[in-house]
Amino acid sequence: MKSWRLIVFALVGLAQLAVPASLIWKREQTLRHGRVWKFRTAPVDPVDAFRGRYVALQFDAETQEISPPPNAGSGQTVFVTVRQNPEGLAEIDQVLANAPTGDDFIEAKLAGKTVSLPFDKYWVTERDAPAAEAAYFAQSRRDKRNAFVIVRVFRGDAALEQLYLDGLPLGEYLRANPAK
Amino acid sequence: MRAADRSGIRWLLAELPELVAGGILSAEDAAALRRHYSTKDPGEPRRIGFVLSAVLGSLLIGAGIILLVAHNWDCLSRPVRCAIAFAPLALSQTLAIFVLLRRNESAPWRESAAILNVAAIGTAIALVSQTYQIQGDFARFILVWMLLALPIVYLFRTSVGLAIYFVGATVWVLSSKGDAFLGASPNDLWVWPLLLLGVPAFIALLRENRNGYGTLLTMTALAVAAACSLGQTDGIGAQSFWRGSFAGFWTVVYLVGAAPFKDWRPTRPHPFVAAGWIGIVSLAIFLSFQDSWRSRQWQNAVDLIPRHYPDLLAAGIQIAWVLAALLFAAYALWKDRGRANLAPAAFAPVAIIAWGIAKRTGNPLLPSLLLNFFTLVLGLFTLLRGIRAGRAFEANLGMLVIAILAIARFFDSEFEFFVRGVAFIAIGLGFLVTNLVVFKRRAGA
Repeated sequence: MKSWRLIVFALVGLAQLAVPASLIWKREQTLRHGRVWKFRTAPVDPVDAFRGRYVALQFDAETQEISPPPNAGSGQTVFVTVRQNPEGLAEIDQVLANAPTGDDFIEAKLAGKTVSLPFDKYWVTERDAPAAEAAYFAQSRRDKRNAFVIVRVFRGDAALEQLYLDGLPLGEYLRANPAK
Repeated sequence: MRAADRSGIRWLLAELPELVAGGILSAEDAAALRRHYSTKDPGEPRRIGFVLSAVLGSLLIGAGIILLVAHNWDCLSRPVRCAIAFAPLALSQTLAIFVLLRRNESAPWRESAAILNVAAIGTAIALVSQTYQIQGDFARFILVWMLLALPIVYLFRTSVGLAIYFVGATVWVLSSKGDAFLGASPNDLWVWPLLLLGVPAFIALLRENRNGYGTLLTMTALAVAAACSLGQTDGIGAQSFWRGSFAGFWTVVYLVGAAPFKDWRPTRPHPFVAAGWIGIVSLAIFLSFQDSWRSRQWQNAVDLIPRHYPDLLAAGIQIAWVLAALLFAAYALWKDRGRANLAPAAFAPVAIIAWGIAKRTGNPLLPSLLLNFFTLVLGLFTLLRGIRAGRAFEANLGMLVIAILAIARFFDSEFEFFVRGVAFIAIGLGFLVTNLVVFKRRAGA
């Protein structure tokens, strides 16, 4: 009686451990082997009650008009390849219905004539969140475009590595420009 | 001994000295009664308190862990944060194994271990996501969490855990469209298998303790989940048929409380009776307005006999609710023999007939008249039942239904103030006379 419960629980327990472990594994692969891209941001902000505070991000690339694959509707998963523009920033190259060969593509959602990139939140500490939000707004106004993120891309997965404000990683920027 | 009887026993024991003094009972009889009632069920109340505090404690600890996680320590390195993410999960698993081995017979231990474990699963996924800036969509996070929690519900036979599972399924079906909280997608139909996965555990719970608070909590969670899922399903299937499917739903809710099951909270009304009354009367009043039957969807070819599979499946689920209500009502009629008021259960067939008329004729007048008639008869029947049995509460409930119907009619018709005034006076007099009659009868009896 007891032993079957234990065996079942052992399996369930393994599954419970496997889910977060697989998340870590996949992300580590991307961070290790992924290609680096710079995405310039454009502005917003809510609070996600479940996962602490974050800075809500939007990107120039998300306002770029693209030609969607035939028969693809809004909200559908698409595969996006990226190219570098003269400023060294990423912009969307192709939007495909099926995964291309190679490692350098992102899985994203189609949003009409644009794509919605799968990274739109940058989590920060509760303590830093208000300062980070203010700094992010200050650096991504229409007249002052100094915010971008570094993203590593590997086989569909896109790992948001760091948010840069005025050329500095968020943490360093906040230390260099303490809130008045 | 039933939990609900305990206050009665306390009352009886307190009355005994007076009864002996008045010569109604002999001292020996009183002593025998006292012995008989005080030896039984000493552990019950303490057990409920213990379960309650254990569950509350576990919930608080679980919520505390989640808040700590939300604080997001970025001074720690990634591996350290990952280790922290896994710590509550590993600890809760250790506790769970201990409970399975040593405390499997204790409900408080099982409930607490299960809740902590379920909270730890969500915490681990959320903290890893935060550490690695993994975005993932919210609905998927909830789905994975609930699927991992489900085996725990079965292993630990936990009522609170099962309630959490049903709530999770509800959150999933409501958030599965991504940003748009309202509106339905065919994917939402998967919520039914998701709910069905929890049903065997629910039946086991009913078998074990029909009138327990945990069972009631779980039942409420299941009812809310079913209502939300049915709302989504109505958006996919025959859209105008929501009137029928929700009539079926509220009828089922009412009957769950009112139907005569064995050992079913016999000493006081089940909370589902109240919920059923509120649902049935609200929907019946809403459908008694002509405007609620004016719909462009009557002409929709997809209506009721859809051509595609998800629509067809959804329509099947809608009809299944109506059938369930009808079968359940038939069962209750067969078993009850006049003890409970089964008139509200007539709502499901009435709503279906009204829907059929509206569908066929496209005329909103007939169905709204039918619903007016039903609500009036329901009120009158309940009123007379209450008067006949000398139950003031039931008689007033019947009057209340009639009064709500009358007020509703004033909203959509252009009666003169004089007519309205007379009608309100009549209803007020009705209340007074009803109560007078009931109390006189009671005094005379």
